[in-house]
Amino acid sequence: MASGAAIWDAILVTLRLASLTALLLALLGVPLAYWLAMGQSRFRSLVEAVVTLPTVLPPTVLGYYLLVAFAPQSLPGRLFRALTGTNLAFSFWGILVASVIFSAPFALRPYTVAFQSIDRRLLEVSWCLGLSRWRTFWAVVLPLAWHGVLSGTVLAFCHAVGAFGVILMVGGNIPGRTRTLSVLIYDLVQALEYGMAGRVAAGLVLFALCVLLLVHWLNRRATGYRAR
Amino acid sequence: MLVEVDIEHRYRHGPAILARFTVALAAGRSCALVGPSGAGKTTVLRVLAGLERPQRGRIRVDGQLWFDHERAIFLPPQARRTGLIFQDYALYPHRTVYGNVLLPARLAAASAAEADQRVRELLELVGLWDERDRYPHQLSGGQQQRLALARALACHARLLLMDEPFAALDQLTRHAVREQLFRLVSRSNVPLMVVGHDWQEIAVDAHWVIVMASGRVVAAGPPDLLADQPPCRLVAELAGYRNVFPVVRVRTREQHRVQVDLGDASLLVRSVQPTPSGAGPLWCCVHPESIIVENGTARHRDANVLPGTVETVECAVRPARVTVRHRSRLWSVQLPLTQARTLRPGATVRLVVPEDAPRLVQDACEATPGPP
Repeated sequence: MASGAAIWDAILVTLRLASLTALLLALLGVPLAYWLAMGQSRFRSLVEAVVTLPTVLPPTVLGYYLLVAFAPQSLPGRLFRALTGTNLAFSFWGILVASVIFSAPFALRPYTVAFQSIDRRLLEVSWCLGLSRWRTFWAVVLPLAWHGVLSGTVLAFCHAVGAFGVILMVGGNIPGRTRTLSVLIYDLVQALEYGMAGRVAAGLVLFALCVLLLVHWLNRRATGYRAR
Repeated sequence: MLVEVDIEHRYRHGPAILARFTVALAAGRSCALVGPSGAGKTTVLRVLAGLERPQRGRIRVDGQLWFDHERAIFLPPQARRTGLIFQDYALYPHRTVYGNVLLPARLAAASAAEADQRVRELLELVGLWDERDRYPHQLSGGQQQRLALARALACHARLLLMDEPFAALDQLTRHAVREQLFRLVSRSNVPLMVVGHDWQEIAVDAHWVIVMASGRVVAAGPPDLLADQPPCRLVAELAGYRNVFPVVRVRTREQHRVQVDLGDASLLVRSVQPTPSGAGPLWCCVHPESIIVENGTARHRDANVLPGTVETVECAVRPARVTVRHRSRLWSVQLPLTQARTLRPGATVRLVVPEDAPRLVQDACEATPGPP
């Protein structure tokens, strides 16, 4: 029987994982999406394909390669061990990296679409008015794309909450460290505790529904704004 | 301000733009870049703004190199301070009228108070101070254009660049806005370079006109001079010469007077400019407003009197437009409304072409314009 403490631990690990995933994707994904939307590099298609790969790969395939990459003998594994003294595989930081890679397309797609919908001439006018590219980004681009950035970040958060296969492959099932709510549900079903599994699952369904309603509302606002 | 442009630019899979011109623009004066669609006018404007980097050449403004291919000099748009105004103005939709002007004004000002003062001055100049809390989509087309102008001036622009500034306006507001715009530019003391394809809209109020066609500069000069003595067929057509006919033969009658044979008509022409002598066909151009229409049949054999039949009468425009058929050719004439109303299709009339009205021009311009 899963104790209340175990469920709370899973909730905390899940929220921590999803929040950090969303934060990291916002920090790294926004510049990358801006480059994908506005850049003219010939490598753009390749980068876009690599970033979108997790949506078409089975989570176990991605999880397997990440597990191999995070092994103590691998370069990332050795580097991480040298810096922190612990292993990357089967750690919270390991599942965080996996979660960021796995959720990246869900954040980057709305970011890119939001940036692409901005009239490029607004940027060109700003440069001619003397605004640097950095200032143009903060004063013109981001205020016009914030709905997309927000909905992408919320989607990435939501996706990280529900991630299962990759998390189990990379992090295993360590209570308080790598056991998220989706792994807990799997655990409860394995232990034939269907009642508790059902309640946790219902909580996740309700949470996902609320988040999707929020994203829908944000998108509607953004569409109305652009139509004016 | 002396603007010297000598560039070659080519878009991928596009034709090459070879623009070479020099223009001196005093404060508040304007230069119009006119030509048919696809002539490369907008590209030249974007190159001047620093939004496109040409493949070759040089741009020098007041002695300062903005671009030099050989010396790998390319001044970014931020350093050129050209207030660029796009066809549909590209106003910031998320900022109010005040906020649109404040953004560049804040960059140019030493303090927030100075920026606020600058925004106020500019919005008062363009008559939008009372609309400062509204958003661009709440403004009319003319107000949006004035806002774009105020925003462009806010960065203390050295040169204003406008791309087809009247294209987004309806015909009713176009005329008023055009007059207002040129007056405001004149008061702002910033030189203006404006791009368009309509001579009536762009060139008539400009102080200097550069004509482009097929990616080349084909003519340049003061608009009244180009309109009076067009150097080639394109410039004549742009300047409103509707009667443009190929010349079969030119015979000199006396000094400054030639007999021009158009095949089915012959005109005596007193040249205000020397008859072009280069290779290629000659064209005889007559402006519709230069032709006199008289009722009745031609009874005498006076030179330059062409009998004809009225084909169409358009009284919905001022001046009225009338087309008259003389043998195989249709002649276009502009008449006062009162006279046009007396004409009916099928009526027999006489077209009188004054000797000093026709212009003899070459098919293609070869001029390489120098400084005014």
